[in-house]
Amino acid sequence: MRLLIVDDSSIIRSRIARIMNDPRLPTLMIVGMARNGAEALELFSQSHPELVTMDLTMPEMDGVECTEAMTNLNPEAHILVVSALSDKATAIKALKKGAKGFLYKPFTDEQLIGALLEVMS
Amino acid sequence: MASPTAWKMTAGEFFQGLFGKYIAILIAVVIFLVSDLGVLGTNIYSSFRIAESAVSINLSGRQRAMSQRFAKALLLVEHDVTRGVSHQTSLQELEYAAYIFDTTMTGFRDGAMVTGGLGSPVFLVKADTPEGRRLVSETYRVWDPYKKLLQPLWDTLPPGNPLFNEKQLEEAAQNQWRSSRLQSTFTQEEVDAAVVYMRANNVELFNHVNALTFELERDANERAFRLRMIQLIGLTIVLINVLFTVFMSIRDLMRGDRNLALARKETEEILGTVREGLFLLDHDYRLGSQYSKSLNKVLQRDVFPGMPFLPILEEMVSKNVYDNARDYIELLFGQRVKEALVTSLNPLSQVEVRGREDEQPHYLSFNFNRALEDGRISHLLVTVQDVTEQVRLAAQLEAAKGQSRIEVEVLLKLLNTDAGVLRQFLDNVGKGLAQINERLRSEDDSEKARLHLLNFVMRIVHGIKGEAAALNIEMFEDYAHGFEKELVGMREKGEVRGEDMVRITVLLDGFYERLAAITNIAEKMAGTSSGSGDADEKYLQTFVDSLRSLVARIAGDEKKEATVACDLGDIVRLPRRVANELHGITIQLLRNAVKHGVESPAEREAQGKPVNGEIVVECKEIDRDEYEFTVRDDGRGISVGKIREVLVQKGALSVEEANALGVDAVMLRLFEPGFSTASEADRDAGHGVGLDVVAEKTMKLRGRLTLNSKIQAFTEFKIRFSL
Amino acid sequence: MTDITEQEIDVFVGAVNHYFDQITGEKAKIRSSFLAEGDIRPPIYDFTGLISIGGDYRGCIYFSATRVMLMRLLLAMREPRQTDPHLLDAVGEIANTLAGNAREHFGETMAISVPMTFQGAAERLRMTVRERPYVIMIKWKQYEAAVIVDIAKK
Repeated sequence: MRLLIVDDSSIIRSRIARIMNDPRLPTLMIVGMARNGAEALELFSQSHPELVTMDLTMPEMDGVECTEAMTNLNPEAHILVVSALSDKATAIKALKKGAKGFLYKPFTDEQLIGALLEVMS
Repeated sequence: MASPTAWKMTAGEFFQGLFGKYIAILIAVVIFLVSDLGVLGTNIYSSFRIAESAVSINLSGRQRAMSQRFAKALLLVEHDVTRGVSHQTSLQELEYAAYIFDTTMTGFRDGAMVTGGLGSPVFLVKADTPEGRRLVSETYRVWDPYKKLLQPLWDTLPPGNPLFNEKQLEEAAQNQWRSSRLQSTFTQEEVDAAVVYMRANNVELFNHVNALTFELERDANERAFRLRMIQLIGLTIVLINVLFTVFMSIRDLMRGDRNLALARKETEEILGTVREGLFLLDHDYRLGSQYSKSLNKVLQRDVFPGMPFLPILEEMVSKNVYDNARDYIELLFGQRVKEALVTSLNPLSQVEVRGREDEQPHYLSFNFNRALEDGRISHLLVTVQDVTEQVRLAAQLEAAKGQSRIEVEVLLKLLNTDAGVLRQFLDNVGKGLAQINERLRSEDDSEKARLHLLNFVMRIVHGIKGEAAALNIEMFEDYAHGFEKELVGMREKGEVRGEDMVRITVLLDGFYERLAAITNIAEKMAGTSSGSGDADEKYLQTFVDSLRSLVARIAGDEKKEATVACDLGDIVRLPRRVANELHGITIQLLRNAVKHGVESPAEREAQGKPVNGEIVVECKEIDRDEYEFTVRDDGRGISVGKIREVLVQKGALSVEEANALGVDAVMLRLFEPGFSTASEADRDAGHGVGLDVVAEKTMKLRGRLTLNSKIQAFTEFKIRFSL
Repeated sequence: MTDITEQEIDVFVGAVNHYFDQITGEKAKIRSSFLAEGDIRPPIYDFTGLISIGGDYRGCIYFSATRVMLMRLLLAMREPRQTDPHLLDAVGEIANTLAGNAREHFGETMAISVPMTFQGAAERLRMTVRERPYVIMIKWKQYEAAVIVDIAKK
């Protein structure tokens, strides 16, 4: 499965990337990492990932907008929102725009794996 | 409330239902089919058998006729022979009748195709009853010799008896009916022998064949009876089965109706009595047909089944909330997102709604649950609760905590206060708060340091409380009292946590806000005050008034009678800073005097004291720049025994240690933070802050504090200081 | 007049606790708490992440921490790169997480910016919306950090 990681923090990006070798997850191939929505969308249309982790607060196109654009390109994409924004309205909006799941920051490795497995199921 | 699973029926449950609930019907259907097929089968079988029997009886009857036909033909042949006329016709008749008789007998014996009543071939079943078989063999016993005697006669006939049809001729040839030895003629003896045999046996043959006919009829009747019985039994089973099925289904229907009625009644009762609004929402976001009676009331709108829900919602909540809620409901109906995830996002869990009946805002709490049918979301079960009361209570509590509320009465009181005193007070408060903040920032976060910090904050807050009380600024007094109570709570837990520090900071912020508000007002007032009159006189007046009102108030609260007598003329000679410190000290001492010193009126009367307790506050310049400040009450005095008791109770000392402590040492304990003999804390005493404030302020003045007391007579605090 | 309730300060305290607990399995302690009032300025450590608040609220939240604390945090996240840009990234991400978590209480109408980060003392911290911003001093293991809450309702 192809994975695209979207987050403006390089630390979060590499943290998510490191988790991909966990044996509980299916084989994941990271096809790209993006720092903002615009970059993410470009990578998305180039490499057609099936799985995306999506930050929301980012410069140049936020995550909700980006999720919507991705879902328009490929409604089958499994988008997991990974964000610190903990208000209900944002989560509802993201889910409505096509996200399949929501994971709040800060997260533990276990929580990330669980959330990834859930959006893939 | 029924869980959404109540709408679910899994495949397993379905089959279980099939084999449980429907088993009776299933069995009934099987019985019906089996018995019905049985009856049908016997019917077909019996009609077939009846046709067979009819043939047998018919042909058996024909045998009787045939036996007489060939007997008669034989007699005719004999007669023709005797008369010398042609016997050919008679002989042909004899052969034909004998042939029919013989082949038919073969049928009765073995079962065979024979010539039917109408000449066409039919199948004759063999006579299979024991009596039938006996009669057949009896017939043969007579017929076989008979036939042998007749045979030579028809053997003389030319081939092709015209009475035979084609088929019979063919058959006869095949069966070698005529013997191969062709005779041209027969003898008289042969005729006579046949006739003699016929005369001797004709009756017997007839009787046998006749008996066979009866036997066949009897057998047919018996068989018919048996078949009718079988039919009857089959029909009876079918009938019973039908009756059983009808009974079962009627019973089930009635029980079903009863259960349904019961369930409906239950649902109606639930829907009629619950206070929450309950309803189902379908995929078109319309209300279901059943909803709780209270829904109208909770929503403050008339609702009807099938009513679209979103317009109701749109009318009630803000646009933001509405948009969220619509998206949310859409998500709930979608299969894509798991319920657990969606449920936690309910934007209507406590939402302000515009009421129709009154102007007051209402708060409703909506809860959505998916109702599943065959694993698909069929409806949303929605519960609505009016939580206005809870929200209002919470808001009141929040408001009671108070955020920068300034009341008119505060303003009025401030107007009656000397501007200088007030400014001094506000200044003190500001300094006190800054001191607290400075200490909060301290680097040391050890447990001990925190306890120290707590005591420090307590002293300052208590000081402010006293001064505010004296100036009658209740807003400050109340706030400080609340602050102090929380500090006491923290201290009593025995451990001061980081979160407590945050709490203190929040309280401090609130205090600052009040200070800023009053400072603002005070400044405005200063701008408008006339500035006329003797400042010293006014200061003294305010000083004295504040003490009097404090004593009056505490005495009122304590249901005691007490007045304060002031001799404070010299106080105006002191710098205001010092005077203000003394004011602070006086407040603490007056509190203690009324609270702990002055007895209840009844007690005083019993002791022969005047009911009204008197407290004297004096300030005298006893030497040049040397002052003596006194506060004395005529109350019960300080009981060393009681202090020892309290120390032991608090666990500060053991009984032995307490008893070993000298009087002076015991008295000193009074000045330690946290000491109090009052059993319950209220805003005037009991928090164990008071004398430690006095001690601290005395130290600031570099004064010397002495304490004198006599049981049942007086308590006196004296502070000597020089400028 | 500022009008932030105790509950609202607790939101940030809770977010800090949750953050350290989730990431490191060890809760942070509140060392102390005070008001940035008068001469008392909020502390600035080696790295600071700042989130501007908009929408129905105004002001900012910032998280300031010592270099060693951030290095230890990165270690807890199994992040081997510990250069200054990474430490800045981390401090920004923490500030963003704290502010984002606070939206659970404040709602979506509290808009939060992407983090602005800087190293060392900065003139930019001459804020303030509040008369007296809240300073919450954090201690995690033996390392120090501070959360400064300077927000008010519009």
